[in-house]
Amino acid sequence: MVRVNVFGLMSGFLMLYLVLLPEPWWVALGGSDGEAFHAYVSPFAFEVVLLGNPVDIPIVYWLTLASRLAFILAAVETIFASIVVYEKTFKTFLSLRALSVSILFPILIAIGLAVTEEAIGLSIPVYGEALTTFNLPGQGYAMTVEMPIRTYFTTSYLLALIAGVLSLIARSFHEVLIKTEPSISRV
Amino acid sequence: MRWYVIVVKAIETALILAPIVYGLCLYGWDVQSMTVPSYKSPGIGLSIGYAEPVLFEDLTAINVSATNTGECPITVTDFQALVLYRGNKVGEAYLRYPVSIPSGEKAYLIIVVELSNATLSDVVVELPGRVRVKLMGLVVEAPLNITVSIGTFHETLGGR
Repeated sequence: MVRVNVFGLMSGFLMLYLVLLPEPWWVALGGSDGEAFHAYVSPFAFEVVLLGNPVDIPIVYWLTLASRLAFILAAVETIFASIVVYEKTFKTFLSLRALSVSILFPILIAIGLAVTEEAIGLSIPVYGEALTTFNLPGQGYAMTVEMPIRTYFTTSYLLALIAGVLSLIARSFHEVLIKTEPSISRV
Repeated sequence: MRWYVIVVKAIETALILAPIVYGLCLYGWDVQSMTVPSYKSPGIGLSIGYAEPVLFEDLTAINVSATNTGECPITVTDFQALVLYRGNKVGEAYLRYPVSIPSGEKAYLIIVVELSNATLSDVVVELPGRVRVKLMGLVVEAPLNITVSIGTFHETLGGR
């Protein structure tokens, strides 16, 4: 009888879904419906547009590319280890990357927002609504901007968290499956 | 740990690090230049032209020409200023109603002047204040100083 690690499969396919159909995990909208400012952030994509012009941070492109690769590899390994449940060693391939990234993500967002506030005085909440004021750079005189901001975590972030929890369960379930499945190396 | 696990993990790490290393190579391993955000804020400009005294709805007012020199349409929603003569406050001024100005176009702002000293004549007064402008869903506040000749003001009013 062929046994598969259902939790691992679900976690792996969820990870693939998150990478291949990249939706933002965290959204910030400034002004009326993001007309003045919007930020769509996930480990795989980063888009910040302020007053119609994009904010570009070169390293972010390479980091998101690396992150995409890391998630695809983790998903493939997890799916493989969930189907080929023979070796105890394969537990290593049941990746906890989705869990660690989804836990780290809001922390990194909070750090990023703290750095932004320190650098340009733009205060953005991690979650919720706020009326923020900041000085617009690049103008000839002191220009104060007042902007309502709304931020929230998306369903994609919730899915990543679910994928992470499923991978954790998959690891425990792998032990159970190994105990009931004869090892291919001993056959 | 079995050898193939080590090999797979080593290849995986190399693949993940490859884009970062490649990016660093492109920037000559200058991490600082890679982390500095680049942003060009759009031009936001309001050029104030001549100030012409007018009688508006039985109010003493100044008709100020304003040109939107920026890249996005704006609405001047508010202007509050003191009326200063030789540094002393002689009255107050405010914008009569909001005015929308498309990019690159000119419009007129009606600024109502309330002088506390009606005997002033043939003097130049200053209106140092702050203008509030709405653009792209946000409110921008900036200093705006207007200088106007009260002498002309009385002459114009008298001529009407």
